[in-house]
Amino acid sequence: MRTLALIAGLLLAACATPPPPSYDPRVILTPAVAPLGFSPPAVTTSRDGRLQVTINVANNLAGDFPLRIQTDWLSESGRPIQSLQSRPQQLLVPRNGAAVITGDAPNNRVRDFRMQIDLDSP
Amino acid sequence: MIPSRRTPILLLLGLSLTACVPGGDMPTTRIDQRTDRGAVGMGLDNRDFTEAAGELVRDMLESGRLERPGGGRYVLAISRIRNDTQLRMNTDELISKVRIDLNNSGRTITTTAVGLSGPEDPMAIQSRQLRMSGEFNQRTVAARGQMVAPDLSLSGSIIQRNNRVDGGAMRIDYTFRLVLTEIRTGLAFWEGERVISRQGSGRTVAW
Repeated sequence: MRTLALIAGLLLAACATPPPPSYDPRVILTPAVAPLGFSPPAVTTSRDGRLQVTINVANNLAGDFPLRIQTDWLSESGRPIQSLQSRPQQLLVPRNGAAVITGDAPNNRVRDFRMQIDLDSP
Repeated sequence: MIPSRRTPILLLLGLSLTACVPGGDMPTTRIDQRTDRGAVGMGLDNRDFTEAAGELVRDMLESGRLERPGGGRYVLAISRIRNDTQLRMNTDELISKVRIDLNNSGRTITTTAVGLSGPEDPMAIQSRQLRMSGEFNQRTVAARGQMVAPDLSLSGSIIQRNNRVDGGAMRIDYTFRLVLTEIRTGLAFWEGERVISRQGSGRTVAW
């Protein structure tokens, strides 16, 4: 009887909602921005060899949503490159609207990035 | 000594004055610039300079004007940045951020041997006087005609505009404007501006 209950329990656990699909690991979304919809990051290279990142954000809520975006631009060895382009940026996603997050690498020595997107609150 | 009737009143007055000392109970803390979410005032702080400089540098690099035909870097001289605001500030705060990022971008290099009110670093000229000295190995002294003249000049202004808005509130717009001039032709090579606005109590004074 106990074994049956255990099997039933295991089966039920298997039916639980699967974890959400993993997003691009280079983009860190904090739980506070979960109500928004994010497109996968589009990473391109400019004419002069600098990385450029673009993410579309959709806000289906009834209120404007302030975001705070912080991007670390990483060198070949994975170390952050100090630059004004790593400053925290503010972006307001309008209610029932969309906005575009953009990031521009400071130079062509950048090989990778980490972008953290959070709710901008005082 | 017999306490008079005035003593409690004086005591209360003293206590209330102590309470008026600004920030008396606020401990001093370090601020991490990356996670700084502190309150803002009607004036400009370091975050505004970083924001404006970052946007302007991004515009410059994005415009493609700093890609020198045939490769190499442009030599940049720093000209005058006018402070047209009520704030007492050193415009170097803006310019140093811009020039550091431009230099790190690999597109420009800044000369410190040429400036509006003399060279920023007089040592380059001063060390030429060693040519006359027998104490120095003359092969290690800078020869004539080795300094590089600037191709571009960076100038600009910070402008403040105050407006009263509905409800008695005050709105202040700060416009950061930068111009890159090609020295050979005198033509504006690139221009950009970034506006940072504040709205707050009409009783606030920004300076």
